[in-house]
Amino acid sequence: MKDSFSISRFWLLLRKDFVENKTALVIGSFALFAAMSLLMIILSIFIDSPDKGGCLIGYVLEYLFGIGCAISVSLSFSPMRTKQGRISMFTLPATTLEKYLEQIVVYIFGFAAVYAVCVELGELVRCVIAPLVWGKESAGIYINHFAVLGTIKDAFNDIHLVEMGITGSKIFTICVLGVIADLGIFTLGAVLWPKFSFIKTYAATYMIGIVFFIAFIVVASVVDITEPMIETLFSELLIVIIVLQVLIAVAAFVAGYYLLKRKNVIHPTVF
Amino acid sequence: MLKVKNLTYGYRKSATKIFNNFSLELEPGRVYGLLGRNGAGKSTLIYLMTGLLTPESGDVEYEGVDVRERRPSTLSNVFIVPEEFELPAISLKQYVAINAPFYPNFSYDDLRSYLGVFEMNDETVNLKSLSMGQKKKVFMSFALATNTRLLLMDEPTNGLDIPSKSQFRKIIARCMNDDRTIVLSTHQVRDVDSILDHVLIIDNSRTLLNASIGEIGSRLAFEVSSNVDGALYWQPTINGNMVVFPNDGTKETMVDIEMLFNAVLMAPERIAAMFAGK
Amino acid sequence: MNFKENRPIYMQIADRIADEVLSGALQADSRIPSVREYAATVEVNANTVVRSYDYLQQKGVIYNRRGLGYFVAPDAVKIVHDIRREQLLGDELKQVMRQLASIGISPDELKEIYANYLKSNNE
Repeated sequence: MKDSFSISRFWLLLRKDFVENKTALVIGSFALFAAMSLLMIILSIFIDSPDKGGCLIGYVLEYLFGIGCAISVSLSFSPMRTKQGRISMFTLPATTLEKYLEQIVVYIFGFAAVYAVCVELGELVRCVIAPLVWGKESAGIYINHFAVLGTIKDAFNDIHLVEMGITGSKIFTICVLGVIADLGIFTLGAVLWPKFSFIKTYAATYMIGIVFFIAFIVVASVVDITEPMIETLFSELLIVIIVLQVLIAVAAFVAGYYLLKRKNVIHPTVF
Repeated sequence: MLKVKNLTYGYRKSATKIFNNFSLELEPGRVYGLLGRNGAGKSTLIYLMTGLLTPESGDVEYEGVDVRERRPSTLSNVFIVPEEFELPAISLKQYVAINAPFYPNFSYDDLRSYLGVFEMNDETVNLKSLSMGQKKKVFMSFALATNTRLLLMDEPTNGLDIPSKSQFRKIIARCMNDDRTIVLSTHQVRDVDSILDHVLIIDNSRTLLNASIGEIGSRLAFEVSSNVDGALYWQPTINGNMVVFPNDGTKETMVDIEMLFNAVLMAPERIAAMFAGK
Repeated sequence: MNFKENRPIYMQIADRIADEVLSGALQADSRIPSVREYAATVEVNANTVVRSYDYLQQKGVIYNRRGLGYFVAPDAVKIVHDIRREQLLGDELKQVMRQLASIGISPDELKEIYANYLKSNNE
């Protein structure tokens, strides 16, 4: 048995996960599909044409993707919740990296794939049902929600902001990286706190956010910041934010891995 | 095969360590009995030996590799059957299909043979529908079929009815070979005494005894006798007194492990003294 | 034959096999189960059975054919007989004699009891 990363073993881990949890996965996917279809039908009231109001559904879905993915990631590493689960997980002959990545692939990329499929199927359902519900034919025109993704960049483009160096693509990048950093944090949270992971991680990041906010206020009151200063610093600030997000994402995912390596079957954890 | 080196471990909250500078070596071809009262730390030792717990100091090595690294090359040679475990809601056939590939020495023939002895031949049965005893038998069959060099079982006979305990002993006796080591951790001494090679008794953060059956047989004598002069330990029974004497070397009696267990717990120093000159 | 079921397990196993040789259940030159088979049957550690087989081999009751297994020796019955005789007239008899002497039974009394026993058993 080799101790380096093995694709075949990774595949065996995936297969094991799917076979053991297929009922939960099927039910979860179906529930997601049903909820999404319902939401899309409700939002169809705003649709007069694919351009007017059509984007709305796309934006909402994309926003919800971020939240949904974080929740999904919080559900990962489920064997870690019980002692028996930890015993079987830690003694399974695969590297910790393989086990870690397998969970990430399933609960992030797997979720993304299921989400995308649900968007598409939900759209088909919406096209059929929405016109009947709202009584307007315009609600039944097919909208390609994935194309909407591309328009977000343009939506952010505001001449006033562009002058300051704040382009739509920069803001878009920040949004995407924000989601990725978020996922990193929630993955770390899933390893740190296998039980009630979402709530605990959310609370922790919220509290850290408050700390930063307070720090910012303190700095802002000490350093005399004027509006012109803000405007000149803004584009540099955006770069800083982007770099920070990348660092946080990388740090969180790496920390999650090393934490998993160190986990014990009985952990005298503090919380 | 497995070396426990100067292990120290205690629960965070308590000051007394369960293991203090504890060392042990497991050799291939032996069936070890890890005996102790409930709460003596048997499960903890098993977790420490399989890299599931990090020692405070000292380490555990399987073939020279620290088990805490949890390398696949180590893990594929070590299997643990915990006292309690959950099986997923799938058929036995599916369970084997998804788990066996992780163990390169897994043998389907062996699996069917053990399932046969346990009379659990139906591979289509859903694992969630099994009773506790049935689950144990199925899982133990799987565990044995992985043909790992080291197999540890925590309270293996717990939840098994009497015929099943007998089936269990038969299987262990049959599956042993020179390359394999099995550790049976239990407080039900009588369930496994006939199949042990080596006895390890722990209690109150100490090893009270670590000896092979042969050594025990040569240093101690177990008799029914009305005379208890010079006895290390004795207890009254229906037949008279069951007595543990030091063996003067003239005879060899049966080794009554349950008596030995009681004797070691009641008179640890006296028994330990018999094995001091090792 | 056994006054104490206290003998080590490997001896008890050897005794069982010897019994089967005497009774004819195990014929001369017939194969006896392998160490592992026998261990599984009686639910005993294989190393214990190895000791039993070593003991019997040493005494000449069984012999080993490389790759084929263990077999009953051609003169096993006689050998077991001799061993049993030796055992009985040795420690075991000493035990009985000690008890008889402590109660005060004379050799003549013993002779009579034994003769009567043989007579009634032959009828």
